[in-house]
Amino acid sequence: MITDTHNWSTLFILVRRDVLKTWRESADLLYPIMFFVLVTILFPFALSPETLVLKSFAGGLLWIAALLAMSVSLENLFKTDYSSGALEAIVLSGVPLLLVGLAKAIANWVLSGLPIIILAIPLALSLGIDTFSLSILLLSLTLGSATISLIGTSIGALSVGLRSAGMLNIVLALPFFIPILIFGAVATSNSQTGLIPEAELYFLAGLLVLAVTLTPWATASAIRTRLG
Amino acid sequence: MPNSLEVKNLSVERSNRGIIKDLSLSLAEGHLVHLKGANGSGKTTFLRALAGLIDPSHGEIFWNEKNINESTFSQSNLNYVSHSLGLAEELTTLENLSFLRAISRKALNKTVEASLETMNLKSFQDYQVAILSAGQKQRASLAQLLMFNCPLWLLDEPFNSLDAESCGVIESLIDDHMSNGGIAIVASHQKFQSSTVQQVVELK
Amino acid sequence: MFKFFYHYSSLRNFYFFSEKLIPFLIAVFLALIIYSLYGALISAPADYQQGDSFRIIYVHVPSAWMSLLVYMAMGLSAVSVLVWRVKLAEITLSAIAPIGAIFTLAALVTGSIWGKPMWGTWWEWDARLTSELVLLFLYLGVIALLRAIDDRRTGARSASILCLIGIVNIPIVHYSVEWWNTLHQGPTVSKFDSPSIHVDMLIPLLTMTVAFMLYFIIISLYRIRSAILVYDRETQWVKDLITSSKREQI
Repeated sequence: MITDTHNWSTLFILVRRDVLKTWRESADLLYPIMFFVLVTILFPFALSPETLVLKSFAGGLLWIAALLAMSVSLENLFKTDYSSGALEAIVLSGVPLLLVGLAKAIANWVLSGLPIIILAIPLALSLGIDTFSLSILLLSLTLGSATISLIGTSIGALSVGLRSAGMLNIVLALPFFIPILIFGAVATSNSQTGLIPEAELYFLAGLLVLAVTLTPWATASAIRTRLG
Repeated sequence: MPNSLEVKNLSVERSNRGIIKDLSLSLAEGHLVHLKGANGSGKTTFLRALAGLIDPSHGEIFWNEKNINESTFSQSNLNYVSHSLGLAEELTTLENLSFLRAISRKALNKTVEASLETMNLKSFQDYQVAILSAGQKQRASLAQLLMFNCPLWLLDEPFNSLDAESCGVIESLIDDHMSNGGIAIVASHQKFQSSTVQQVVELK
Repeated sequence: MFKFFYHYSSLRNFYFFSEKLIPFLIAVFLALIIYSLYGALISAPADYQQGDSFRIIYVHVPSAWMSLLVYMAMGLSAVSVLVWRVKLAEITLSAIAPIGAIFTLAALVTGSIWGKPMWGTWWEWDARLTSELVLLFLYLGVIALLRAIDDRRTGARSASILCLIGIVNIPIVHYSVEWWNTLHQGPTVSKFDSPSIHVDMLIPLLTMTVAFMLYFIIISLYRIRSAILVYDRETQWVKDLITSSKREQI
């Protein structure tokens, strides 16, 4: 089934639709990005303007900001499709829901994960990170943000249409993001001593593989359950 | 084998209240049911149960003698036009319908352009759904009846917001469908003309 | 075997079966708890280093074990809900979630209380306590989702999905938190490990744990039985039950 070209093109169509929808509603594009930058700049205000201090916390602090910014973007994943009845129409069209789940996660990553990774570059440099650590940070963010999108999509599907869905998403999702945060932040801070944090990166990759295998089932199940 | 829809002692609960209680129905090819009832009487719930979206708490629904809630049943036989229309507001009419046509596992019929033509929406195909009028949105949603070739039609208030001319278009569509051996259940609080003899089911 | 489960998974049969079971369970529970408390407070010798303050492990450790056990029980219910759509499992999931959360909270609070005389602080970010804290949030998440969804069946099914994702997450969190902890402390023995536990200390711990399990079962049964009555309130057998109990009151 995975190698069936019909399914690959369907996946592309699904992702393209979600990206296009958010692109047209350009405010939604900017919120995760703005949130990421705002949270990051809160830390110098709270901790210290000295680069020496900021440098030692830079990895963890950027990771927290990225985590929160992506959590905030989860609410809109299914919201409009649910209220407009489009989600129902998609389910009734007979398309495998596994693809829908995977597509939503990919779209979420493209729309919030990717911009955050790009913006992490100037932000990390402003916090005094050296270029080697920056590359490790970006690698860990890439692996981790993909996992966050996948898990976040399952959570978003479970809470769609509920009251305070935004807050509920964050409260439900953060416990699942803690291991990603641990490995990502530690990878970055360890890399600042000059070592390549192999173990941490392997774990992030492992978590990503686990997420790709399991979360689409959870998302499909959640969509079917919440529509019923 | 001719198509048939069989509902046996259907009961559906929503939010812990019984909405449909012990409903039975039997439809063969060319049968049209006009579903009537006050708001909240369960018309939409019934249609959604028939579409397989809701699990019944009791009873069974059979399409061509197969239970639709069994996991082996595949969902490609029906055209369901829901109350909420199912169109993404940020996308254009053309984009919405092309998307549905591209991902669908149902049997295809007319192209998107031809369907829009029949619905008098050709000139609006590149407009975002958000700026269409209610009647235009309704017609855009109904266009899927033309795009797909499905024996079972479940229509939830299809005549909403439509002017007399458009109502006529839909009525003739339904007539064509019935004379081609289709089965249809139409929930509507207004009467509609049909050359097929209608069975009226009133939900309380 | 399947016939047994099938028969007792009907709400009515389970209700009457549990009615007979509860007095027996309470009797065993009372016997065990008295025995365990005697063992914990009196017959277990005072610890060489900590004196009498170590005795709180007789509440802390069983609570922690129960917090994990209840989550596993929730997981089993979740599978029953999603795969076989068992109504009793839906009710069980909703009923035991708050109990598990309380056990987790108890483990955290008693852990904190134990910490004060031991380390001088009310909290240490050690691996076990921190994992327990994350577990608390997994429980609260399931409870929040159950409460947010109106329809009982949809709520139970959604919570089941969340619970199962959570089960996958528990070992991941446990391992990553342990790893995170050892990074900053070096390989130390976890503060909650006793190097070798004297058998006089161990036996009350085990009996206490069994007592906690019985307590959990008894309380769950009460909650499940009430929920069954609400769930089936339109059925004849519940209506008969209500009228017969009203008649008894008069």
